[in-house]
Amino acid sequence: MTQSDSLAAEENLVQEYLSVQKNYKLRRLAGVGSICVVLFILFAIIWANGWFDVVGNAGMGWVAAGIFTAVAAIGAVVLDLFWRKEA
Amino acid sequence: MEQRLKELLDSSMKADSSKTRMGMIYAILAGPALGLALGLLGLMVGKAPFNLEYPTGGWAIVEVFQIPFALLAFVVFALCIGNWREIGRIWTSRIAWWTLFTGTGGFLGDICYACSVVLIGGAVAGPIGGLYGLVGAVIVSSLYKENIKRWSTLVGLVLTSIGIWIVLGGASLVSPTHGIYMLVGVLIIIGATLTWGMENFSIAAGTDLMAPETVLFYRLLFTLVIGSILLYVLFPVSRHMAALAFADPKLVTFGAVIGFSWIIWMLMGYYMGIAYAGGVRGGVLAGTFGFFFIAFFSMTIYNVPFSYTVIFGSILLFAGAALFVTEPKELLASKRN
Repeated sequence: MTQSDSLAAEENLVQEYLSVQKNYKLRRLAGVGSICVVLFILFAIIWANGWFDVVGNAGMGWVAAGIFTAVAAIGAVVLDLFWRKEA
Repeated sequence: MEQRLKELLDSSMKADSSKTRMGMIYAILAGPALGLALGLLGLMVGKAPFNLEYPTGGWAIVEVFQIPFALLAFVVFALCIGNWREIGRIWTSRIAWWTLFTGTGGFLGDICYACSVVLIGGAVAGPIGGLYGLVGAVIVSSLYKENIKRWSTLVGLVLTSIGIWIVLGGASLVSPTHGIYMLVGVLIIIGATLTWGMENFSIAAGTDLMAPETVLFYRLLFTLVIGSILLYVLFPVSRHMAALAFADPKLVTFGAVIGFSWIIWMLMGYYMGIAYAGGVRGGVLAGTFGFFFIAFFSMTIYNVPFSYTVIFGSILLFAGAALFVTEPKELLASKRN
């Protein structure tokens, strides 16, 4: 095998690795997304039943913090997908 | 040819540094999830039925709600990413067993945190617990021979110590207990930082060999099994607590919020952060940011009295951690040459 052959093989490997990585990141987005969906369902249940007394007088502020949390986590994966494209 | 090789090398170096930065972003953005989860835990330990016996109630919340729901969330996640096939693979490597063993020790930290939060409250236990990142960084750097002896590390450590000192000053105002009880609470949370620090190292070592999610599955499973057996055998009152807690749909829903938001931080901030950015950078950032949010949310949405002193101390902690993870430009330049 010449040096250029081995270099081409290496590049192929890099390309394959990148495509696997991208697929994996998309799946991770789906995974984190589903966890956040469950979290939202829980907030909806709490809101519908008016169970805020557990968190005292925070009420909607608490739900806002929960939404902020979910958005930040999903945002991290989205950043990973679009910003770290070149990998 | 030479040119092409240099290009590949260059792009690989760039990719490496962007992966590290991405890991740091993961660690930072997952922070609020930990604040939401453990702040809520800190609030619930004071309520029935978890106030039947202190500090057993803290441990009971971990075993009754936090871990089972986190495990459930993890299963959902693993099914989505298709990673569940990897889970059995861990038993094929002896090194993987060992890292798993030390990683599982991290559950002692969870229990210590929950018990300490009863004594000193989330606003204080948070910033001190966040120090586990520094403990982990010291262990990682000494075992991996990573050089962290720089002026910035030293200044970072000094800032961190001042930050802790200030947080403890504010603690006397926001802590539910005082005197010897507060001291015991602080000692317990320091114990937690040590076990978490070991976990931090074992994640760094383990994720070299396998996907971070795989390690996390066993960490959760063992925490559930070992922790529950110890809890229910040693503290009979916890059985009563568990029965009462499960009978109340309101408590179960809030318990699920603890588990589901905690797993977001564990996955994204802790395990991914370290897998991407390494034990030093990922660990320190996941620790300080996540635990800062415990203090911040405790004092803003969880009814702990607001204290500027604790916030100011936490900001100093941040600055210290930031210095700890940055490498000065001149040092990077000399490394490249």
